[in-house]
Amino acid sequence: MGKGEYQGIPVSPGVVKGKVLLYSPESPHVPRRSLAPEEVEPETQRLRRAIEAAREQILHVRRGLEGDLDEVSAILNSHVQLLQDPTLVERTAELIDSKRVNAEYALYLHMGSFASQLRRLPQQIGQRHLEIVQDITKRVMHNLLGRTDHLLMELEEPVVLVAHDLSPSDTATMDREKVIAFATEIGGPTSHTAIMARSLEIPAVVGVPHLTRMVKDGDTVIVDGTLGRVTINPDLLELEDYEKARLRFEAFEHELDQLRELEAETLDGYRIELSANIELPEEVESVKRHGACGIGLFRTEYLFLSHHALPDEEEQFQVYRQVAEEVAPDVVIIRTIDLGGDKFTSHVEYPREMNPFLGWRAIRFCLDAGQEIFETQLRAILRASHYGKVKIMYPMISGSREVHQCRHLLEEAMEALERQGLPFDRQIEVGVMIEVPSAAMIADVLARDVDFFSIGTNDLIQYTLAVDRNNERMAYLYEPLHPSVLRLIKNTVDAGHAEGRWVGICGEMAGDPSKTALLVGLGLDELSMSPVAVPEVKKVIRSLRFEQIKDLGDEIARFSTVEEVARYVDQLNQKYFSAQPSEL
Amino acid sequence: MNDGLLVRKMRVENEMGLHARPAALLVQAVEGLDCDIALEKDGEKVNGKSIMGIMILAAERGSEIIVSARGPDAERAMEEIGRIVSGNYGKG
Repeated sequence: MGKGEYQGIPVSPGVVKGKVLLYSPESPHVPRRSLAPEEVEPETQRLRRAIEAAREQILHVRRGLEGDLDEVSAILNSHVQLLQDPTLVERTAELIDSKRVNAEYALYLHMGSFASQLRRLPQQIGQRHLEIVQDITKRVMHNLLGRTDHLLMELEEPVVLVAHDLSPSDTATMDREKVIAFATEIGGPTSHTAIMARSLEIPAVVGVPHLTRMVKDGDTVIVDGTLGRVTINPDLLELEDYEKARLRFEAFEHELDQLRELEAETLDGYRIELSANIELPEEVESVKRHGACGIGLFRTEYLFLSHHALPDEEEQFQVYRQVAEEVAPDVVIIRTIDLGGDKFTSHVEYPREMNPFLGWRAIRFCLDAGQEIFETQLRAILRASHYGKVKIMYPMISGSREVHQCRHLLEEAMEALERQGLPFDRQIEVGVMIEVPSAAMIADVLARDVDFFSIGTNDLIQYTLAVDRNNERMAYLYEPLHPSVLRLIKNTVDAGHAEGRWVGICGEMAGDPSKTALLVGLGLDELSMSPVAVPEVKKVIRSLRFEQIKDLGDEIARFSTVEEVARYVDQLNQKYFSAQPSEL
Repeated sequence: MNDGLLVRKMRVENEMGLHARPAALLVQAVEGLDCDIALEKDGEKVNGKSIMGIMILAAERGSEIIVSARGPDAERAMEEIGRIVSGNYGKG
């Protein structure tokens, strides 16, 4: 009996427990038969009937879907149109006639050559088309062979569907009342399976290797679509965890629904910009789902770390544009690459450094050997700015010379784009990350040259306190509430505001609800955090009265120890959380 | 009645390009019309009433296609295709 917990990719949130239904529609063997001349006409008729039957089956499925499944219905529309495509019948019939072969084999030849044409297209387009084409080919083939898949259509009891992969018509024909989750071996966040699962609002995990070999029909599994875990035949402890996870998710869903559309506003109407940090374009959906207002930090390193070659301008442009369009009219702040430190790409040669976090990283690299990479990125970001509301942010700025150099390169990029007649937002806002103590101390100087600050507290804390944040032995010294850190934050906020600039935080601290009252009181205009942290922080903001905390910065400036600050923050939180327990 | 050949250059403006879903809508919009339609991109010419053809064309947003139509409904076909290519489907 299979056991244990397996990690896959979470593509549709929620957690359920159920019995496995192992679904393995084996790809049918394609028989080949030579035809006598008089058999050509009946064979062509047989083909037409099989295609028509497939079309009827899909239309039947589509009629059964409710209005809230537009996404699914739209995908199925492509299936229907394909089955109605006059060339499908014509070309396949031609093959039956010219090669004197049976309908199955002719279909196999025609669709096979079509599929290989699709494989030559750029992957992201071709793959989608291919899935649809394979799906309908399989369906017509089954009809020709006299098989029908009723397996999923009428189910006796609730099941967790486990398969190598699921096609859109598999998921659409299945009995939706009875299928409570699915788990597959292949797929990603944007595959059909994932889209279907989210439309149907059932938990799903994809990309669990060898899953179909580890379970059998009737096994009990827990599918956690939030964490991307599949647990096979759970023991008591795992069942207990499941109960907890289920309750947590229920409470979370409930809260999310209530909070999503609400403003991040204090009781006295002071508004905070609550935005999200992302690494992948696919996360935009999660940003919206959690009710964040735009993206306060789009880290771009993944583009450079996950590729076989450095991404060119066009490739970057497409990614940035996609994100800009998807979050519009909200803002996306794109941070230029922060390589070095602990993130390296194999396409660049790095010197061996004793102290990489204090070394050749981020903007230092971009203004040196990485200048060409940097210029390409600036062009890609500028071009994307035409398609939404984009802002640029530079990491690891330590003084104003770097800001001037960046501005110079950006100006050059703008002029080049103008010469080429490529559109971009001339008024694009440019900001810097405040994560080096020197930058925080001369924030008044930097504020003259930029449109905004975003404080990167993770690095700011480690640099201010000289504590390696990855060194466990030093962890006790890593204190976000150290008076020095708070003074630097306060100094940055005050200096920014004096020049009319907005100031945000995009470090871990921003997503910690126990620090929300403190940060709002310090005057931060924006808090950017991981999407999942947004609802909780929003809830805290909605319980605060800005008038009562707006001068807290002055009080904090008098504290001399972490303990004093921590006590103060505790009291602050208690005051608010007890006074307005769950006012939304 | 107009039996002449109409040829127009169009820029694909809709967000997803002419991928599976918009392609399906395009074919749907012209399937009943009495005319022959061809779509051409980068020298590749396909039947405008065939979703398989349009899928192979894989016209991305921003790309230019040449649309030609011949037959009594050619003008209508041009309008329908123009509407979808410009991204205005599903709004009217």
